[in-house]
Amino acid sequence: MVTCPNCSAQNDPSAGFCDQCGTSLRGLSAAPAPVAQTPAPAMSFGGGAVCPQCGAQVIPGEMFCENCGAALGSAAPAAAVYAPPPAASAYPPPPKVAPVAPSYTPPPAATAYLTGIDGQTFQLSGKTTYLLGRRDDVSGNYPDVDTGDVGLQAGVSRRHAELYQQGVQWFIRDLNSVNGTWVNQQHLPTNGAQPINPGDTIRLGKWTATFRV
Amino acid sequence: MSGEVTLTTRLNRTIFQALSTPQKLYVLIDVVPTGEGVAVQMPVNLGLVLDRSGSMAGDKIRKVREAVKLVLGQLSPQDLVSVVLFDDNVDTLVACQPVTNLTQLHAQIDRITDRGGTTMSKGMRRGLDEMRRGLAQDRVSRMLLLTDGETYGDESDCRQLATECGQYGVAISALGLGEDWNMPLLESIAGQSGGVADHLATPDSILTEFRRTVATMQGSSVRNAQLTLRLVAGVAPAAAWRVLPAISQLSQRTLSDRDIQLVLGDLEHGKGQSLLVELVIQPKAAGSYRVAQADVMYDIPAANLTGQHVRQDILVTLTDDPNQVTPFDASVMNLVEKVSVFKLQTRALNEAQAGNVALATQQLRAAATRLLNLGEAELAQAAQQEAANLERQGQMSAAGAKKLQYGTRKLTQRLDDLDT
Repeated sequence: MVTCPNCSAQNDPSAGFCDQCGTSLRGLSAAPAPVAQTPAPAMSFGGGAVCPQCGAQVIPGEMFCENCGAALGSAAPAAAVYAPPPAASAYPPPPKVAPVAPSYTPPPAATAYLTGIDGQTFQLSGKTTYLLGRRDDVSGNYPDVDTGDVGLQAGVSRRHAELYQQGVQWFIRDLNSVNGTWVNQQHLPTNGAQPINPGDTIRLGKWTATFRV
Repeated sequence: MSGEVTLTTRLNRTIFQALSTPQKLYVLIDVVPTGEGVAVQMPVNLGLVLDRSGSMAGDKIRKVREAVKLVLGQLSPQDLVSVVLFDDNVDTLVACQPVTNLTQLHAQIDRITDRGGTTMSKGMRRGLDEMRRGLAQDRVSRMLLLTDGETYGDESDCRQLATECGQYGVAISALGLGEDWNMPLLESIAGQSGGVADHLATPDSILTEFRRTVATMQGSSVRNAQLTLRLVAGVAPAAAWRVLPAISQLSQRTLSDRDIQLVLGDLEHGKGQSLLVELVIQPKAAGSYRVAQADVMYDIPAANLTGQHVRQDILVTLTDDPNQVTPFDASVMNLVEKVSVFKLQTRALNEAQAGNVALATQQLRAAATRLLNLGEAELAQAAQQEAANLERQGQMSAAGAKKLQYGTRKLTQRLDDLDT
């Protein structure tokens, strides 16, 4: 049997995790190891976390208020952060390395443009990968090409697809989107990538755009 | 034969902050039959129980005839079909038989015309009697019940018959056409038989829905699926939802203080089901833990297999370093938000029925906000409209309530009018 280092429960030697408390048992020998058991922190609900809209108590990590439906998002209360017992850091911070002038500067990525069905043009420059999707404040998703309300109506996912360059060739990759990605009427497999060329039409859900450089 | 069902789990983050208070995690569980051994077309026993009361006159009854013919085209000689028509009387138009002679069947379908009142229990009784002649373990049986109005004085008989259907393994797809049917009745008929209820806004949707139901039956090669979640100490289940193929709350059976069981039923090949489970974990120090093990048990009748298993550990990583906390998984978050809309809407309907108008109004407005954020402009407008109706008249409109109830349920479905 393997003794769990956290709760001392006896586990099958093949178990990867303690059946009682879920602690990882990997790398432990079957010999019973006498380990001081740290008392579990007392259970306390709430921790002062309340819904900013209706004041109902919420559990940290909760996404939407159970009472009024308000988005709680990542508003986990700072007061509820787990405070580990202070311990001397075993690892000194890594020394700062002075930036070395690169001996080779890759040619700057070419600028590309994407013109959507609503006439809006997005300029793509200065990055290696561009996210296509819909802005969403709740999940903190801010794509480079934000199709906005038009995209919403057209079934564009928040993280729908990405555009990137390899050498001089541009590619588009579907990001497991709900309603699919097309290049010139050709459907990309889920998570599939495909080269695209100037003049190509890309489609995200029902949202279409023309690609230019 | 293992590996016929793929089980994957995903949390709403990869790395969480270790907190000194309990915190909530969301787990998305996908259960999808993918193996070649389950890519078979299941023989079906389809019972069509159709309302032909006077209110079905015109376009509705024409579309019914068209839809039944369409469905017959989907079936083959290995399948059984029966067609029962009811008004305040009942007729067996097609007795339970294999789909062999299409020409003759089509001629019979052409005899469907409207007349009389509505006594639904008579139709259900006769429909079940026909279907019982073709029940078999390796055949998917389902009753397709279509009505556009209230039934008269036999609601309790209908509920009783639905329970009886469930006992025979005949799930009922209860389809309400238009706005004048009895939503609580069809909901309980579907629920008690293990089926689903749905709203058909226009006669045109009869064709789509009939076709979809038959395709789902034919694809249901994995049956009697149930998910057991084994939780470690300090982890408690908060709620469980089915999110695909449509949103519904799953009732959980508590097996012990740390095991819960969710009944999934039939799994369609290549589609399966997705579940969203909310867990509350007690404070833990930074590290990686298993919070639960998911175990799906299922049968594959075509291969004569029962009690097959697939298991997957659900692991969580906690960190003290806020910079290591990963962003939300957008696709899980999207489903969490859709479920929250469904919850708000369901509670608003219940509060409105209980007469708590102010609370119901507030919840509908909150639902409208969430729907707008999801880009569901049409449903958001319906929610706003019903909030206004509640404020002015103290009740929601029948049409609006149906639109919201069945619209929010399908928020997770993909646009199926996309064609390439």
